[in-house]
Amino acid sequence: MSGVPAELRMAASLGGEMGSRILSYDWPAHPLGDPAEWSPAVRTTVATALACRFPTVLWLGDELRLIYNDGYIPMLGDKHPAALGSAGADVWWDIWDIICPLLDGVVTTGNATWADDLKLMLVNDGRRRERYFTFTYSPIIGAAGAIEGVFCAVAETTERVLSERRLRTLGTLAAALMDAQSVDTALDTVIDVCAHHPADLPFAAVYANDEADSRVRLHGATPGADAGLPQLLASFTDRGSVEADGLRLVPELPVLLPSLATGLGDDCPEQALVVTLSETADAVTERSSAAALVLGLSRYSPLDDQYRGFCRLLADQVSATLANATAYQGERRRAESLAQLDQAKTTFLANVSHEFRTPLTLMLGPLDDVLTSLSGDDELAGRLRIVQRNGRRLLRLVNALLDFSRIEAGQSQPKLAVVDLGALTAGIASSFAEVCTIAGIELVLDCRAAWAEADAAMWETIVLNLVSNAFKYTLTGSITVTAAPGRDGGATMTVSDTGTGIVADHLPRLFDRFYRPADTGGRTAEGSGIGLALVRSLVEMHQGTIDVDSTPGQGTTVRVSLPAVDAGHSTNGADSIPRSAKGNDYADEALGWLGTGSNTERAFSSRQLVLVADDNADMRRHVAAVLGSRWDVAEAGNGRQALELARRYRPDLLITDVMMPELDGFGLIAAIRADPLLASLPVIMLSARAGQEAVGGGLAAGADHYLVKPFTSADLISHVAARLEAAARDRSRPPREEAEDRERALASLTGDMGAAKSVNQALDALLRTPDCSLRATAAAVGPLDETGSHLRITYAGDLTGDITDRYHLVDINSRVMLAETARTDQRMVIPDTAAVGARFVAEAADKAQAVRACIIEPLHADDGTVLGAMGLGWPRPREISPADTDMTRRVAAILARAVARISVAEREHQIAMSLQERLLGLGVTSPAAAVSAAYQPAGEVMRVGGDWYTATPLGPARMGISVGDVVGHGLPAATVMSQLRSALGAAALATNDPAAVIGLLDRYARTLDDAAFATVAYVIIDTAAGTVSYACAGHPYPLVVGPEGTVTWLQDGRRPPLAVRSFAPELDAPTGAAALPPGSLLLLYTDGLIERRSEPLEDGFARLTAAAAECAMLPAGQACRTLISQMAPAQGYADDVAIIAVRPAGTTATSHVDAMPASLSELGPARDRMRDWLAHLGTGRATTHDVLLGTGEALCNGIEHGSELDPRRSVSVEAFAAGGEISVTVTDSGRWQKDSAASGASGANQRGRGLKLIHGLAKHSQTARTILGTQVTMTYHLDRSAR
Amino acid sequence: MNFQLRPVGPPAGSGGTVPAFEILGDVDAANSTDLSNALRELASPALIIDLSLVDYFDSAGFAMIDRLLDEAPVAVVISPDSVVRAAAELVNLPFHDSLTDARTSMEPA
Repeated sequence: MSGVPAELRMAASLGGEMGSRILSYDWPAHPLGDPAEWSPAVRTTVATALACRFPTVLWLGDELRLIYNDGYIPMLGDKHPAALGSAGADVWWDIWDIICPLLDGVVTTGNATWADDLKLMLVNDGRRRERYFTFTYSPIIGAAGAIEGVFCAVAETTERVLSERRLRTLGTLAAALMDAQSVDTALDTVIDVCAHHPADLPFAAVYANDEADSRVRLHGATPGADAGLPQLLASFTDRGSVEADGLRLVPELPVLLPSLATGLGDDCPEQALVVTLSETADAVTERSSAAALVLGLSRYSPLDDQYRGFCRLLADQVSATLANATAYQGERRRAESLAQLDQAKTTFLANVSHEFRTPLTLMLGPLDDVLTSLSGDDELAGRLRIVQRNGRRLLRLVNALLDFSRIEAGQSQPKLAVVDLGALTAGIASSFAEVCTIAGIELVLDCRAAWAEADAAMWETIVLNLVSNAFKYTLTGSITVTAAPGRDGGATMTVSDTGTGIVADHLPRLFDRFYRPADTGGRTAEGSGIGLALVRSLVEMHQGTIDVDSTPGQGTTVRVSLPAVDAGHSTNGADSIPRSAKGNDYADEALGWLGTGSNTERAFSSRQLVLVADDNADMRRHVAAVLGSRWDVAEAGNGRQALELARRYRPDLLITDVMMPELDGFGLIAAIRADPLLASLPVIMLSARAGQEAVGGGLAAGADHYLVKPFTSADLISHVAARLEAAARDRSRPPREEAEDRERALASLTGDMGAAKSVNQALDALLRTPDCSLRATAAAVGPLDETGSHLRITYAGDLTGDITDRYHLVDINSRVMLAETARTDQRMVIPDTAAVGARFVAEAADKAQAVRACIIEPLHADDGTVLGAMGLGWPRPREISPADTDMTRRVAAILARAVARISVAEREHQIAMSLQERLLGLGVTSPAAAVSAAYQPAGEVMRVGGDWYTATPLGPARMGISVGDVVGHGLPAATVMSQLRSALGAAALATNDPAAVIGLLDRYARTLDDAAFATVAYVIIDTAAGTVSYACAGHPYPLVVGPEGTVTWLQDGRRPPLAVRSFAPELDAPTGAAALPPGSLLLLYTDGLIERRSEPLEDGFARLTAAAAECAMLPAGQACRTLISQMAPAQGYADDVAIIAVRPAGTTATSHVDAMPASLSELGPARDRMRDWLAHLGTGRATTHDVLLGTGEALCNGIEHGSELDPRRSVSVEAFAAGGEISVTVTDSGRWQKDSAASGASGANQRGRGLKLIHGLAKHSQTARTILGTQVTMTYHLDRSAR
Repeated sequence: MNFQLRPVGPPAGSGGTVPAFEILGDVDAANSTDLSNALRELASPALIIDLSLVDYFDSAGFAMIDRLLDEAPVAVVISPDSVVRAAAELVNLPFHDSLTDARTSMEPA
């Protein structure tokens, strides 16, 4: 070692492993010789290399022997350390062919070389590896200028180069996959891209799920590999080991797949990676084996993290693409299949329609021929016309479907011509004029000339559909069709109606085909749902627009706009428009919706009654005609009507359609089953909906039988007969069972009647017990009055107000059935009132609407004397059996006991009341105001109390009103009350100052026993001035309710109670005053109304303030009744209550109050005053007349029957306009005393007419009778149309 | 307001012979007897009464017309837009829509 030069020794000590090796190398035995003898240049270079950390190698000597530093060791791999000092050709035999020329060049020329990322396939550990290097060869120049060796600095760039290459591959793949929209394309693209990058992917194969057998099969592979790969992925996955991340490494490929090497040759990979592809992110587990990528791994690159990462990224990219492609494909498949479905539907419609058309045409042609040969009123012709009409309807429907499907299929093109749409539209729409007239609907045509390009036949379809639709949903009001030039040229047509309107939810789908909103409440539930869809398609073919505005309950407007005509199109005269018979067809169909079918006027025989409910008039008539030979038939056009008829006529069987407007078949059955009187009615349901499900639905809804359309007449008859027989069997149950039911019903009726507090309640109880009333729909009871000369008859059930008023008080000798029975004590049995004896023809005719059969029973007291009579009525003639009369006899006995009990109670009440009434007395009233009073005795006890009121006329516009209360009850109190009342009346006439009147009364009271602490309020109203003046002696404040409901308490004019000596007169306040404008209400009352035990009086006043405010728009009588019921404590009044309510005569915008003496000569002036008021309200002519007539008739009644033409009495009118209604109350102050029916006499006829006019012209009417008078209230629609 | 009775001439050239009167104003229980007396004198041998323009017509009026119908050949006219039409229908008074209809019924060609 001593021979090593110093610079080398120094460098070797810094040179790490190679430094040591060079120092310890046996150089003397080596061709290069002892380092000490190396040229200085070589020595320096070696020292430099050893001390350098950059990989460096020196090629020295003729054989280019290697000396290298530590940095170069990794490049040599297993060639180190043998390479040190070895000849270059021996060390780098594997790449000598490449580097030898480079080295030679440097040695011979001295020119340095530069190699950048040079690929060198180095062999290491017996394997060739693809590696990249950047290096330079430069000469080592000796002192003599000779080249003594080659210096090489080298860097390995394999990692960077491969990384860049792999990234490029991924980028190429991503770009290529961008356009892949199907799974197959994506997979093919993957293969294609891989085939162009064999360095990293010597081969690539895709395996995909085979839907046929759910196995994953080879889908495709890069060229050269496809033949050698197994068909099933399982061949790979059975081998190899699973690596992390779902990668699976398959080794020893050449062994596994010998044929692969045949295709791929020397570069055939030794191993491959299997990467599973997840098609969709959220279905990884499910689809994990659905597809896989098999990637051959380069045999020249180790499977390091980078290579593995590359494979992973590649697989991820493919997975994402497959997921997209799958989703896209799914979407497209769905879209395509929807389109196909739509197409299929359209084709089907077209085919079906076409197939229907031929036979229909062949049926209708001969039918027309037959009809022309028959005379018009032939019965057969009538039936055939039904066939014809419905055949045409079917044809029209089929044509619409065909049109529609043609448009959908794009086979229909409009034959456009420039036409005057105004004239065209008016002509088409006018075909509905007749049917609108019949239906009572106004058809308004407002069509101006408007030129547009249109196909006239299509336009006809558009207009007819829209008008027909409007007609279907418009039950009252008008249909308006307008046409006018559009704003920007073109034309606009609108069809507006005042019909049921469309709920906003339904609007967007209105023009969809087959869309039919439920529950539309039109004339018919019929319809295909094709009309509006067809309209929209047609409008779109004209490049037009259609839109709709609708407000439920108010109507709908459909607007169709067509674009402007292109310039240059010639106008085509409107006279060349082809006209078809289409309009008639549509109008004919609409005609079929009319005739709602309630045939209440039809004379029923005593046969069983079948009620038919169907919205199709033809179907209804057909069923009626079929059944008419054996049964009576009533017809209803919808469920609601059917329910009304069922309640009125109690049919024996119901046949109902399913689809009907207003109330459908299911709703109808539900309502019938819920009504105890109808619950057992057998029901047959008719429907076009076939199938077990529909039948089941019908039966589940409560139908007894379900008949599918079409059915034969014989079918229908046999089913109806079977149902009626079954029902009859049900009714004729074993006699014992039936008897038990009857006894149970009678027992229950006895209980109900025992609880009845009034005759009305007793009758209601009877009608509620069908087993006892024999399902009667009307009942009447007429007890004899005290003298036995009249019957006062009360009614329940289906009788109109004019009849019950007219037959309310009847003479025992009159030609009235109840009177006859009461007089003769003989039962009357009338199976059919049309066949009643001459004596009762008039009564039978009057009541025929409600009563066609009846039984009248006498009512007996316990001692056998006749109390009166009762009657039961049925709306149809019926057979009456001995069992029926046995029942009515027993019912009469129960009712008689109830009536006797109620009469006794009522009589007691009446005696007490009439005594009080005589004492209270409003008998004489004034034309200055409408006055009503009410008296409520405390609790149940009937006794005379100490409350009073008076009303004293003081001139045409003035009236004195008083209310007073004497301490105590019974006769002493009544005596004092009577004395005070008389004194007050006298004082009132003596002075007009209320304080002075009370002062006089006080002085008088001091002379009486028992008058101390009596209280009194006295008010003078002056209707001319619109004021009140008043004084109160210890009495609760009177109050005035203003027209708007404001309550004013009259708190002035106070003084102590009467006859209280300890108080000094100087404490008395002077008379108080307040305004009483027209429309206000003055209320006086006694303290019983507001006082409650253990409650401050303020609470009572607060309650009264609230209750009185509610009376602002009530007539005086009703205000009294309302206050008494509203103010009543839960346990009833503890003290007597008297209320007097006064409305001053006068008129405001919303009220009209008038009072007059009971004289017929007052009628005209009263009418003129009311006419003025109605004129200010703006009431239409017809309504004005109806209101005046009803009021006039009621006044006439009040004057003649209530006040008995006694001009000291008065009658009053109180009318209010609010909430779109006018309500008129006519009050008289008496009790009708004369026979109100007065059989046959002309006066009674007139009176009957009067009652008809009172009740018939009003929307509502009711009669309230109290001991203080009779009030008739009529309500009218406030119709402002100036008709 | 009281009633007025006004003759209505037959259409020119119609050769109508039955006298026709229209009633204007109000007819009620207070004046129906006066009207009845007036009409009774006119209704011989026959009469057409036009109620179309009447402002008010009550049950006393209808009763009076009813009696008149029993006594003499009388036809009543109430046009469709008359205010008394609804009331007349309610009390079942027979009437014609127009004077022409009434004449046709009374003077068959």
